[in-house]
Amino acid sequence: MKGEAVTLEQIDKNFAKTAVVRNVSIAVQAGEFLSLLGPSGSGKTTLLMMIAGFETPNRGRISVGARDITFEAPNKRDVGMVFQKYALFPHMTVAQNIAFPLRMRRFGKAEISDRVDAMLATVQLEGFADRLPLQLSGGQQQRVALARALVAEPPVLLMDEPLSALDKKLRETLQIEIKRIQKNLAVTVVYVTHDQEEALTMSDRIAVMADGELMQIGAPTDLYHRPTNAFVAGFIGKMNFLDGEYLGQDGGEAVIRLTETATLKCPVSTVPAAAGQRLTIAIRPEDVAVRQCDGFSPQCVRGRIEAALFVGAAYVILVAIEGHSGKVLEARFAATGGSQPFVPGDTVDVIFEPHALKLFASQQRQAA
Amino acid sequence: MTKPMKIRSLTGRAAAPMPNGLSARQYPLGLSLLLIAPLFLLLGFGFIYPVGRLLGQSFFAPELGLDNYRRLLETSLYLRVLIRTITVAFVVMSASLAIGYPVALAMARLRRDLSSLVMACVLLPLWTSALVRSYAWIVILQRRGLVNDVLSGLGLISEPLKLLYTEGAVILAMTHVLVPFMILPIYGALRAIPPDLVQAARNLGADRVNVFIRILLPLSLPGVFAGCLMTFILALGFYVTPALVGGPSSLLMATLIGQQTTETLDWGFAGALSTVLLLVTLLIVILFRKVLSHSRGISNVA
Repeated sequence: MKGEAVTLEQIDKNFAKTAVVRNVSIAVQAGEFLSLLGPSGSGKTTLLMMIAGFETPNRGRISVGARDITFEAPNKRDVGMVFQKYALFPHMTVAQNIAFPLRMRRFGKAEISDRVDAMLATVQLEGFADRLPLQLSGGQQQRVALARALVAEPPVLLMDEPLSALDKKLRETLQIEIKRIQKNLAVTVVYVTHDQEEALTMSDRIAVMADGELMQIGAPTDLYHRPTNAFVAGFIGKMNFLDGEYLGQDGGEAVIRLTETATLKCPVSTVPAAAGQRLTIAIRPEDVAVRQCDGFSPQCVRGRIEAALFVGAAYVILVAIEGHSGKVLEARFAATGGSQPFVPGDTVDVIFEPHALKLFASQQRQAA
Repeated sequence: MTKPMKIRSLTGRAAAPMPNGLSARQYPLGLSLLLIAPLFLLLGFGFIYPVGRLLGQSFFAPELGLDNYRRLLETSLYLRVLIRTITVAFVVMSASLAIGYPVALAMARLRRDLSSLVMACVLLPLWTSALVRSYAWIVILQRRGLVNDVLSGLGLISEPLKLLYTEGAVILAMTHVLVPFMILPIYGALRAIPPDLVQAARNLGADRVNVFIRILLPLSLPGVFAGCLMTFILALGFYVTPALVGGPSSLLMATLIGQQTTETLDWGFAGALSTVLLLVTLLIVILFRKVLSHSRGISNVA
C-alpha cells in the first residue's frame, strides 16, 4: 500500500442557500496525516463527505493522485473511511465485516481469509473473528472499523471524529495505535476532529476551519507559535486577547498603547496595522510574566490579582489590568514546589516580552 | 447463527432488577398487576371464555364425541375450503410483500415531508372501515363497473368479464386491506437502520444493488417477518371482504364458520371449524418462530 496525494481545489459547497464550505484549497501530501480541525459547523465534516463522495461540491475539484474524483460514485473512489459511530454491520461477524470490501472487489476466498487474518493481527484483535460487533467494546469496535477501512489497501483513509465516543484513556491509547498503523502502511489520512489536543498529537499538518473557510494550514508547532490570524491564535491552545492602539514607530520599534498610562514596544515587522489604528494583542498564558510590583517599567502594566489557582502541574493566576476596562489576563507558570506566590488582591507588574506578543488587525474573527 | 440469542439474554440480564431492593426502572409487582388487570379481565371474559365455549361445543354439541371433526375431515368440501383459505392467505401475504416492500423502502429513503405524505396515503385506508373498502371493490369490479367499462370502451372485450365473486377478487381486495400491515413493520425496520451503514457499505465498494442485498434486506428481515406473520394471520381469519366480494366458489373458513353460526345454527360444527383454524394459525406461528430463531438474531416479532 502506498499513500496518494489528495488535492482539494477551490471547493465551494452550499446547503440550500447557506454556504458551508467557501473556496477551500488544501493539498494533502502522499502519506501525510492531515487533520481538519474546527468548531462544529465549520465545514470540516462536509469537506470529508465530499472526499468520500457522499456530497458533491458546487464548485471546485477533488483529486486523489492523478484521478479526478469530484463526481465519482462513492464505491468507485477507493478511499477508506472510518465513521464516528463505527458503522459496523451488526448482522455480520468481525471477520465478515472486514471481508466486506474484499468481497465487493471479488477477491478469492483464500486471499480474503489471509488478508482478514493479517488485518486482525494489525489491529490486535486475533481471536475475535467470529464475534458480532455488539459483543465488542467501543474501542474494539473502532479497531474493527479501522481494519475494515484499511483491508482493501486504499491509498487514502478518511476518519470522521473516530474517537469522540470513547473515554479519555482509551482515546489516548488508540491515538497512538492509529498513528502507528498509519506510519507502517504509509497511507494518507484526512482526519476530522474538533479536539485540538488530538489534532496536535497526531497530525503532520493541521488545517483549521471556521465558518466554512480555511483559516490556516500548517504543522502543529506552526499553528501554536505562529498563528496568522486571531481565530487560530485563540482556537489552538489558550490565548489572552487585549485591545490596543498602534501609535507609531519610535527608535525602530513599534509603540502600542495598551492603557492610558501603559505602552508596549515590539518589533515593527509584527504590526499588521497603520499608525493610529486599533489592533488586537495576543499573548499565551505561559508567556505572561508576573512579578511583585516594583514601580514603572516600559514593558510593564500594573495589575491586580483576581484569583490564584493551583491546577496540578502549574499555577494559574488571573490578573485584572489596571485601566483596561476590567479585562482579565490569564498567566500560567510551572509549579516547582513551594506554595502559590501570589494572593488575590496583590498589586503586581505584568510584563509583556516583545517577542511573545502577537498582533492582529482588530476586526478579525476570534474563536469563542 | 445462534449467537444473537446470546446477546438478547445478555441485555435481558442487564435489565433485570437487583436482587436486593427494588429497581427504579421497574414498578412493584402489585402495581404492575393492577395496571395489567383490566386488559386481562377483558381478555378473559371477552375472548378466552366465549372462544373456549365455542371450542368446547365442538366436542359436546349435539352430543359428546368427535362427530363434528369426523364430518369436517370426511367432507372434501370442507377440506378444500381449509386448503383454499391457507392458499389465499399465502398469496395475499406474498402479494402484500411484493407491493409493500418497495413502498416501505421508498418511504424510508424519502425526504421527511414526502415520507409523511406517503405514510398518510398508506394509513388512510386503515382509517376506513373494511366494509366500505370492500364495497368500493364491488363498484370497481362489477359487471358494469369501472374496469369492465374501460376495457369495453377500449374495445378490448366484447362482453363484460366476470371479475367479482371470484377468488381473484378476494385476493385483490384482501391485499388492498392488509398491505399497510406489511408496510408499517418493514418501514419501521428500514427506518431503524442507521444511514451511516449504507454510507459505509458504499464507501467499502458496494454499489446500490449490493447495499440493498447485503445491508438493507438482511437488516429489514425482522420487519418483513413481522409483516408476513401479521398479514398471513389476519388473512386466515378474514371475514368481511371474502364474504362481500367472494362467491360460493371462493368460500373461506371465516365465511364458512359465519354460515354455521348464523344460518345453519350448527354451533358444534362451527366450533370444530374454529378449532381447526386456530390450530392451523398456531402451527404457522410456531413455524415462523422456528424459522426466525434460525435466521440471525431475528426474534421478538412472533
